[in-house]
Amino acid sequence: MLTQIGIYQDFIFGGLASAGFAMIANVRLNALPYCGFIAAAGHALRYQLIHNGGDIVSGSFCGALVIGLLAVVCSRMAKSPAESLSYPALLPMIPGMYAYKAVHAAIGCMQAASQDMFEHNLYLLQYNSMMTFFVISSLVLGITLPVFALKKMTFEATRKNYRHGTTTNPIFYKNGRDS
Amino acid sequence: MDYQVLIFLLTIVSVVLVAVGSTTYRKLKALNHKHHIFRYEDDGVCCVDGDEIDDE
Amino acid sequence: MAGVDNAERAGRFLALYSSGLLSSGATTLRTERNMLRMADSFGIDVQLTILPMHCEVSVRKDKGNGRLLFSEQYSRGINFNAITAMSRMSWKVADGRLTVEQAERLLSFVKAQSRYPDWIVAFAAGVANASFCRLFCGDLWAMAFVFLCTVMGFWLKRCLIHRSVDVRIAVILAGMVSAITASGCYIFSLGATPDVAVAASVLYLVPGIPFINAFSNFMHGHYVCAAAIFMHAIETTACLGIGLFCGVMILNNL
Repeated sequence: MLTQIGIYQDFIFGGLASAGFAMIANVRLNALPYCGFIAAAGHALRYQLIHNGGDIVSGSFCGALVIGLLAVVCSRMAKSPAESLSYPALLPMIPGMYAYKAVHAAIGCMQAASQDMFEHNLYLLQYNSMMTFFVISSLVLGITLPVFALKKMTFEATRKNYRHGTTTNPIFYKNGRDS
Repeated sequence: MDYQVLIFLLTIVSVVLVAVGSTTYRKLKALNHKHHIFRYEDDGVCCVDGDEIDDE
Repeated sequence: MAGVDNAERAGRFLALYSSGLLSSGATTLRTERNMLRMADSFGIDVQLTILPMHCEVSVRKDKGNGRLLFSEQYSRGINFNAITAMSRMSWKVADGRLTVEQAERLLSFVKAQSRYPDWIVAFAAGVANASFCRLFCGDLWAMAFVFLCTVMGFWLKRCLIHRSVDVRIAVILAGMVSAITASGCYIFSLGATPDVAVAASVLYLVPGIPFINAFSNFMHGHYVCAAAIFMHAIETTACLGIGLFCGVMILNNL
């Protein structure tokens, strides 16, 4: 039985993983520390919830909610859209293992020598596919809720030195668009 | 040598060769583009044009 | 309402902008909002249609019921730096600080920006995947092998894609190489968690952002795009699974 790594290591390595993947996604250099911190906070919360009786879906949702809120708040400071902070921060929580196990089970179904083995692999395929779907859904729901709640802050994060009412364009608010 | 060790070493060596080969090829291509070392005639025959290099 | 010439130029720019944003991995929501914000500023009536491989911007002509249609293809990629720059540009246009001509020049400049150097990205990917390995309770040897296999697999994938090899084949080969390299833990009996090393060796190939984009587009009503991106993500996941499976089969079968 593998030992748990502890919340501090989960915090540090979750942040490192997110910063690394953020670099692959070409996030701005000044936004990398924000990505790391946001991911570390969300991942540590998820770790704490899962190891205190919660399941992975609800833990992932709560972690993603925290990531979404922090991303919206930090997007102004990082001068980047909230997605560029929250998406890399979510990557350590993407259920890659479940997705891989689903594919592995599909291959196992094809190679099954008996009905029992086929049914076992089919169970694994269905279980892992469902878990992948539900975990990713909960992650996306978690980061989308703060975007809906704080729409103005989210979509004006990259707006520079704007003062309300100073725009010269008279049809700026055409059709009631508020951003 | 154990078969698995052989496969392991072959994998590492082949990736290194691909990486080095790809980088070298790109650099040579850039050099060729700059200095026109190899010039292809209409009939597809490759020749070395020494005069072009002297003009650089 | 702007004249026909301006409407045509603005429409062409908006189509290029939308395809640029979608090519960088932005969600359909952000693309729509940014584009409509700029269209309001230009004073033109536009409609945006986002399809899986291309987007269409339809601009109403100055007089009459005619519309101009601009269609641009886009490819899938992820570049948050470009998304940030283009979002800022949309606000500058909306605040009246950029004309169409200036915005066109800025868009060309943004698209020409280079990414981080490949060796830095490969190193960062290695560190990230090694951290992943630790999150799954891998020990130091497992982390070291995962770092090595990630750097190698990432570099191989990059080389193959530069040589115009199909992305799916590149992912399969990268997965195979990573699996074989990470199996060094088993081969040389190093560390106490060799199985974690092998399992985590291909996680850097998992298309996390396309999965998130697919669900995000689904939530905002762009079901066709959501399904297309989701299938692309499933395809990539299947390829990495096949690569890992082939790598393990090669080592175990003989």
